[in-house]
Amino acid sequence: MSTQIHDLGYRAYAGERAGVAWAVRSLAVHSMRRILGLKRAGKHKIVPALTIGFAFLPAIVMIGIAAFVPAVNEFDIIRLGDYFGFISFALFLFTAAAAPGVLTTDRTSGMLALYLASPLNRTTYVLAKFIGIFSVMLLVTVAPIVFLQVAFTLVGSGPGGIVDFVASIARAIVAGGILAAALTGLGMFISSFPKRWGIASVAIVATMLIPIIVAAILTEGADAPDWVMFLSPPDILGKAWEHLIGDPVNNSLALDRLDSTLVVLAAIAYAAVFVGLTWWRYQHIEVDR
Amino acid sequence: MTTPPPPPSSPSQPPPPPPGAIAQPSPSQLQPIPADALVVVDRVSKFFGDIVAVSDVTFAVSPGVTALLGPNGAGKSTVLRMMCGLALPSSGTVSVMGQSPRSNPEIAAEIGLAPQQESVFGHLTALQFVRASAELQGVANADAEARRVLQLVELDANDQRFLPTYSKGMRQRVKLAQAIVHEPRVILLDEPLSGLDPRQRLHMVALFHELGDQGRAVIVSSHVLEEVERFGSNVVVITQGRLAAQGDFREIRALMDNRPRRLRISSDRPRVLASALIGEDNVSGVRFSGDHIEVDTNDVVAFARAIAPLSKRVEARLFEVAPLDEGLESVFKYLVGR
Amino acid sequence: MRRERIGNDALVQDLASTLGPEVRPVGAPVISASRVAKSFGATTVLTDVTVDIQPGITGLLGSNGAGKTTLLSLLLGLEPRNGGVLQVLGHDPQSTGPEVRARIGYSPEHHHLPADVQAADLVRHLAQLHGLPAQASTERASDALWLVGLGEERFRPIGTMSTGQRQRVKLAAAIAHDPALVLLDEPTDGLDPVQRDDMLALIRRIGTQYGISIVLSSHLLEEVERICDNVVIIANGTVIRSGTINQMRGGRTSVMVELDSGHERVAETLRTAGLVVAVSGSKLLVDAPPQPDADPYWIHDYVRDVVAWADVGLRRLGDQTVSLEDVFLASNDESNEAMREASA
Repeated sequence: MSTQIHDLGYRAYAGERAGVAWAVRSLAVHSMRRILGLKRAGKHKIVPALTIGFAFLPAIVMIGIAAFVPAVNEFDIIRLGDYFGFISFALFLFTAAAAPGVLTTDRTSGMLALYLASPLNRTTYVLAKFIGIFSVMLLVTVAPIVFLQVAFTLVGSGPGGIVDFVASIARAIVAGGILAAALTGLGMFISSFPKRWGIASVAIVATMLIPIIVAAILTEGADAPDWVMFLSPPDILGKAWEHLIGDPVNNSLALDRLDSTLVVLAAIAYAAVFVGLTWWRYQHIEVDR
Repeated sequence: MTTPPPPPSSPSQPPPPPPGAIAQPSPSQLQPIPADALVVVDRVSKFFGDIVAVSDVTFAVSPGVTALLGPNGAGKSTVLRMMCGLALPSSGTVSVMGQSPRSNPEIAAEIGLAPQQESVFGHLTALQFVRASAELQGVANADAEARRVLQLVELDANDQRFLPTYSKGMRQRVKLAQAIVHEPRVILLDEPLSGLDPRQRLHMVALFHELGDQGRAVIVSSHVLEEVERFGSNVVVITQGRLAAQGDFREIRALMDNRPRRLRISSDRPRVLASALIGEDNVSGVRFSGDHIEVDTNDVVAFARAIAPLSKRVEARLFEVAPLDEGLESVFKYLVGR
Repeated sequence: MRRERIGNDALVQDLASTLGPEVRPVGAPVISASRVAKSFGATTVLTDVTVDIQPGITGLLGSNGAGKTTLLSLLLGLEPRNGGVLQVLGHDPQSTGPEVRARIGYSPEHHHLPADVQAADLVRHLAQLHGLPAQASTERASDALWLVGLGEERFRPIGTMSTGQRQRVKLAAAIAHDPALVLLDEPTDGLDPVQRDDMLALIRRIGTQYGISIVLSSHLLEEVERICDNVVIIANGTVIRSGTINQMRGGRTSVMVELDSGHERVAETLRTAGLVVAVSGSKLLVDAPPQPDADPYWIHDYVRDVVAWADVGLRRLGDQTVSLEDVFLASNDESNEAMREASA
């Protein structure tokens, strides 16, 4: 081999350059990693791990019962329709933990200015963040149910035929998808205002809890008409999920009396509105340079 | 048989001291404290646990504009904080007009500080901010005084916008206004010109001089040496936690004579000129740099006498002869050991 | 209290600079603006910006409020124009913003950067957003950080870094994806004189050896004079001067001579040759009546000969040029005058 000194100077890049889609994907993946605490210190993995674990907990319990005590109908313990109610608090907490972390920090850390100076613009930035948060939300809104159905089928208590099986999975995806979209949109919209992510988190939890309480008081205690429940997004989202899963709970409450189609449409509308509001907010947000 | 040539005489010049090692004068050699000194820092050291931030620094500041210079992280900010009483020296004393700024609140009223940080701006307008500061300092007619200083720094007192929305240059001016509203005798400014455009900077420097002419001590910490040269020539240089030099920087420069000087020469026949220069006793080095020659000389005065006749002799035209290390930047670099 | 210096990396860079070819960018203007206008609501910020910015290192100067930041936003396609034609690297940033931004690097003025992210991760992430595949992003991020002298620190969280190091992280992030054009906003802000020197040398190297054009926005005219080839001055929403540094400073005016002694004697002798000499302290300002046929540097030769004959020390000799600051202030004054007259 002949002797050489190599030029260690600057190397121009002559390779491929991808477009906006690659940038969106990169930012979405980056956001997902941050939410799950991957590539970060251990303490950032605790809340996501606990919340996801909690979302799967009823499923694991039900499968355990189905597997080891076949005589007991697992659905006596928890009905599928109850699932959302059972883990709803975990869902709200997860939204409150996920969205603010990846939105407010960009604004305070100066990253937003750098992102907007890349091929991303305000719209594709919001899109990338939405995809990232939404994908992780699916882990708690869809994955547990799918897991449940698959596991039941494996232990023999699942839906009868292939068609029913596929249908049940499809329902889980649609129901969980709309729920995830709406929660993501709401979380993003609220996170687009404060400078500190802690404030956004509290605001998100408040936005979930307060309408539930107020709507319950109004309809049950103060005899308000049933349609008041439409004004409570968390109630509507939960109910829509139940309807789509195909196993709605009926406790003779105002929420249960609402027409199922309207409830589902309202949930979809809420999802669209929250996402739209977030997009609008980011079109006008001031960026520090 | 001829006698052998005499042996070369032994060198009589002592080797130059290593850069940055200006000998710390012993206490008996310290310059006497000027009678009009407003701030006296006397053998001050500051430790943060095991870390020595400032080590045995002594200097005095008289009325007028004084520049406080030093590399980042080398103790300058700590010295500044001790001068306005925000920190207490671990040993030694800091006195402002004879008293310690930390233990005497009345003296604190004679000190104005415009720090680099802007954490206290909050939801205030410029007027509210400056007026609040004036009220805190017990200024009578706080509103009128606040308006006066805002006008002095060319800001609109009636602007209703909140401070965080202000541009950097405007925030700098608000900070200066707040620092002078209570007419302090000692004014400490940390990087006050950053973010200002050239005209605004000229205006601010003129303001510093005005304040200095009024008998106040204006101490400006700055990294932009070209600006500092405009403040006047009084500098205090802190590096590695110690006082590297103080006084008129031109005189400091002259004190550095044992270091070779460097000049840039531009000629139509650089190589011919360079060859001739190498033959000169007072030339210690010649290098080519782009179209120019850079010459190092141990004896600037002798070199200055020699360059014109030498160039004429070899018929080299001189486009330019320029000393490369006369300014404050060269002084600074030498002092901080570059 | 370790002062950051480029250290061993300087050796690598010196080696590289002696071996690598100088890759100065050449060719068509990198930015071409014609009557560009921008208003925000009722406020007109830019009225008639017309300029061609050539490849190389260009200084963008302007008083606060003159429209510099807005112009940078338009170049990046972050805001729509209200008029005029603008081409950056051959494309219109308004209609093809993502494509233009993919080829531009940007270092903003502020120092905010995420504290818990490692420098290498940040640079890699941004390079990837600008279109580089994952592996290339990682490699080029590492290269860029070494180039700016942060090789050993590249896995440290940015929150633990000093101002000087952060400025260099921003610079690395701006060049990692091999842009054709880099926009730097106050890149030496917060740096001490030695760090500033290093940063300016780095920027100069990037602009002359790496084939990357640079637009440098700065209030420090001395540093613009030091490293920029070209200058653009903006005032009152329009470009009032543009050109090379030498064009800015105008042709030769007087010849300045600084002597140790013998000022009057030398001055008198020069006057006998028909030169106009003004003595001010240790300096002589020498002017010649215009002589179209004469060698323009005959004054230099004659001064040299007179000084040699007088046997006095020559400290300084050269053309007395106007400083960039004088040009800047004078141009601004002219522009403000014109505005006043126009509105009167």
